[in-house]
Amino acid sequence: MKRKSITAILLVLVMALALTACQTGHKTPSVKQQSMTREEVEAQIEKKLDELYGILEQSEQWGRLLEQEDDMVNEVYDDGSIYGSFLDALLEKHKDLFSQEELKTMESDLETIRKIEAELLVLEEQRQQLLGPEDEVDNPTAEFFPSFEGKDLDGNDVTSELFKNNKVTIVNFWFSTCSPCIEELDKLNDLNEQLKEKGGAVIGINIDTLDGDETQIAEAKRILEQKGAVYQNIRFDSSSEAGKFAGEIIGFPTTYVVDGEGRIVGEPLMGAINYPGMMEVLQDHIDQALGVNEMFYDENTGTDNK
Amino acid sequence: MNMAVKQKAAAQLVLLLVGAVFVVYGAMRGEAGVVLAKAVKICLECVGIG
Amino acid sequence: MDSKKNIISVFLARFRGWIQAAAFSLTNIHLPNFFKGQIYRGTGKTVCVPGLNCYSCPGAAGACPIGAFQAAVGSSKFRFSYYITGILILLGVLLGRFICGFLCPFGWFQELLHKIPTPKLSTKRLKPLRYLKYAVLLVMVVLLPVLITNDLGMGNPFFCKYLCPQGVLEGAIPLSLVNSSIRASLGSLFHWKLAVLIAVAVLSVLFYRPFCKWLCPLGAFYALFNKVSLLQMQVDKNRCVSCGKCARICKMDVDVTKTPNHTECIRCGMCVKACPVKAVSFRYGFGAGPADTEDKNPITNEMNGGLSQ
Repeated sequence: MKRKSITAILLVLVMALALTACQTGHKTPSVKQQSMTREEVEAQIEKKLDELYGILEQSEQWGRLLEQEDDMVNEVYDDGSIYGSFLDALLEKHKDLFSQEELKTMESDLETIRKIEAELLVLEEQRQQLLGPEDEVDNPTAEFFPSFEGKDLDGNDVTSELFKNNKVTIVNFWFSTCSPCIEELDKLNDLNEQLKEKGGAVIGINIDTLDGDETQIAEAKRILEQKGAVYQNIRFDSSSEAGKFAGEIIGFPTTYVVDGEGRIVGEPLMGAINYPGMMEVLQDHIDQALGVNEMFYDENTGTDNK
Repeated sequence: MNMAVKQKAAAQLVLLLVGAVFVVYGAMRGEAGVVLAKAVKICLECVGIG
Repeated sequence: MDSKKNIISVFLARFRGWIQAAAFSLTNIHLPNFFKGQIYRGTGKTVCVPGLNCYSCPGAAGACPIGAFQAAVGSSKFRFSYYITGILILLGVLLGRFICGFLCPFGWFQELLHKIPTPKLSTKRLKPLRYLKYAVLLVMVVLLPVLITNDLGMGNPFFCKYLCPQGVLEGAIPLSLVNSSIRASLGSLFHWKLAVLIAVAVLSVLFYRPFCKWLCPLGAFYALFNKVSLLQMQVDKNRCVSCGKCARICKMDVDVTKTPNHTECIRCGMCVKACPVKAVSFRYGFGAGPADTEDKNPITNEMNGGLSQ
């Protein structure tokens, strides 16, 4: 179980760092890198991770140290430090638990870990680049759902922070004269009820209401009421980043699955979810989203998750 | 010009006027807005994508 | 005056292919959208184009008349669309099935397929099938979206959803080529419509414009206006030698000398080109009936009591 939590933390941190590296324009795709397929890169990542665990798990000292980790996890993570530094800080904090010799070994272990981490970072960048070309002309699939500040249809303020409040959020785009979009509203409401138990939610975005047109909002609310859809429907400025994202959506209804980090899971689902076969795909994405979060958040309960 | 031709010309004129009136009336009651609204967002199932 | 009319008519008939190509280009002018996998969203889409052209086509510059009609009557607010019907009436009177012959992209598509060299089959014995398109218009376009509604009073665009092959050709296929999410969503509905498109395509190779003759609701509507359209076919009875070439060459099974404004005539002008004595031409203007066949030769006029026959 500890291994899983380590992997989770590590992967998330490494990926976050890889992303920031990409965004600062350090993309230098070399011919050598692109000759590896995505599968090969991911296999390499697995191998490196195994190496890393090896060090931590085979050592009695590390085991002892990591048992102290529980409350440190959140602290260090908020700083955004990478795993090597995290372990370093943890060691600093609890160095009185170990003898001088043990400390020396652990220090050299840390060196190795840092090296492996650097390699993982490179591999992760490669993996990101290999994802790139396929997504070019598709529906917008940014890594993260664009941030937004807006209101819901009842006038309450909402921001993209809402993703953090849910383990998974289903974002459904629709418009008021779209029959199939409206047909699926009650099914989406049922889904919302189901997800509540798992800590998830459904939110709707009616494209016609984005800029706050009162008539459109009233119409949307009328439709939602008629179909018994009580989950939150939100809107934001069409000129905002999220508004532009919504503007690029070409067909409706379109449904995105967003995890607790605000990251979009999988491809957007186009077409109504009450269409045969769609629910399975949606459920798959939801499980994927929940899986990541459970690995991350449930480390203290020790339950084995997908 | 004989009657048949005159009648035909009259019918054509009437139809043109009716057409024009329909367009204006329809636009005034908001139909043009509905046409535009539906034509710029694809309802996937409506066009047989799905 | 008559020969001038004929020169213009022959010109139109000769260059029809180019005019069709131009019509297709203007109707679908937003070419970059094909690569971007986007559709045009400007106000141009408030008006409909004259031919059958799906709004989901990335290049489409306007709305489809049939699609727009169904959109309006399918909404919970309206049972009938005056706006689109008005536009269609105007187009019907101003041009009639000239639109089918010169301006409709899907008509052009069928004709291009028909050029593929295979044995061709005649539709002369299949005339009853022509009535099917009126049923498609009445039932799928006008009635069903209004009669079959959901609990909010909204109807589905039945023709667009279940039958129209143009939507598959211009919308579904180009979009799914560049957009993998759309590709992933293609299911049984798309497969059915693709089958319709393939069937129409195959039939178009063998028959001339089968969709126009038997299924197109837009053609059905314009057909009703052929008799009152300002654009007419005209046969100069003075010149006509009753050789029958025009009737033989007509692929819509119309005899222009007998019924110049038959509902099936798409004003393609093949008869104009075929006539050895240049008796057939297009005519544009109000009126036009027996008086146009008035004998202008003063001697024979006198003898025939003012009319040429």
